[in-house]
Amino acid sequence: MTLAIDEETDVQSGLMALVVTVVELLVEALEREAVRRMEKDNLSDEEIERLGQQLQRLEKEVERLKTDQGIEKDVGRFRTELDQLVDGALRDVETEVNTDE
Amino acid sequence: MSESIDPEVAGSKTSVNTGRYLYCLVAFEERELEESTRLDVSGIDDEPVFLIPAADASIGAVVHARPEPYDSSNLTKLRDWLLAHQRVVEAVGDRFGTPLPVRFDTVLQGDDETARDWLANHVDAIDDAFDTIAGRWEYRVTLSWDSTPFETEQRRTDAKLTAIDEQLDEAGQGTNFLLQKRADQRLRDLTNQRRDELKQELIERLGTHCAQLTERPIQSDMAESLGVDLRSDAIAQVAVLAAAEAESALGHTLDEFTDIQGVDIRFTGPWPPYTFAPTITDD
Repeated sequence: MTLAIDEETDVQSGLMALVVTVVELLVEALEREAVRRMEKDNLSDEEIERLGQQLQRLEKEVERLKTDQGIEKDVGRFRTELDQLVDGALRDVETEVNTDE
Repeated sequence: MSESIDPEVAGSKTSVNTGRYLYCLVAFEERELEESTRLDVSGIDDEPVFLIPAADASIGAVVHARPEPYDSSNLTKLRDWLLAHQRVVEAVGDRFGTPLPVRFDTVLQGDDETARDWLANHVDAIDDAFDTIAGRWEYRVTLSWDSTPFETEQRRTDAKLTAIDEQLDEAGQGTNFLLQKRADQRLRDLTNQRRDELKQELIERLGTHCAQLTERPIQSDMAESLGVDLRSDAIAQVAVLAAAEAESALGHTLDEFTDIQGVDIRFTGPWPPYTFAPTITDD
């Protein structure tokens, strides 16, 4: 599995994009978990409000970082490649399961 | 030492450096053709193309003389070669009926005699393959779906989404943020579910008109995509193997499908059955 860093992007910028991609994915995972707990009534109203504000600040910070570093496209590309990697891995597992049956 | 092949007397001499670039296999009436025959189509790099019949003369290999496979890192060149390969296979299909396509860049080492031996050694597998594809062609369907009208309607009618909407006005900033994420997730789930339903419905409808059907990864086929881009909202690509007579029924079914809001169908074919041709191996 390889994630290519574009030739036109210098290594530092490419690394920054990779790190920000991972952070963005983590923030999204946190948001999903927060929504899940909200739906299960596991959080008080104050906790929901506080958590929401923190996640909103995090998300804004990540967006600002992407804009300031000019890496929006690179991050988008990494995410697409990661999606394709995961899809490919899932298809391989499906094929294996079907072969074993 | 490599030996050049006289195009008028293909394969009359044996040399370690000869080969036959293989386009496809064909089936025809026994004894229709008994000798290597020049075909009225040019191959890759304008090479003259020949049909080498098997010894029993009911199947044949469509070839041009070539000692080794083509190799290039130049994508334009590769595309030109692939298109030339496909042009030959399609021309052959026009003349002999459904051909059995062979993977691009397959070269049989040796001369016409070697090719005839190869055909004889694989005649059972080749006959089985022709039993499957005879009289049938491949058609490809790309299903695209613009989900915007669906999403607009769901926002208006889905109970969970309207409930969230009512809470938004009174909520604090942080709560509002999470409620919005919750609504986004709900809409994504509804849209993904609808997408899967559409795909399943397409496959079921197509299945009633074809011998075989297979879903392909969504991609632009090099030959298909000349001047036509794949839509970004393409959700499925399906290849079907169907009799030529089923083409209008397939088209009619797909026309009905496009009545569904947001759905677009791209229907191409008939193609030689690239997706359904079994690999004829040497083991």
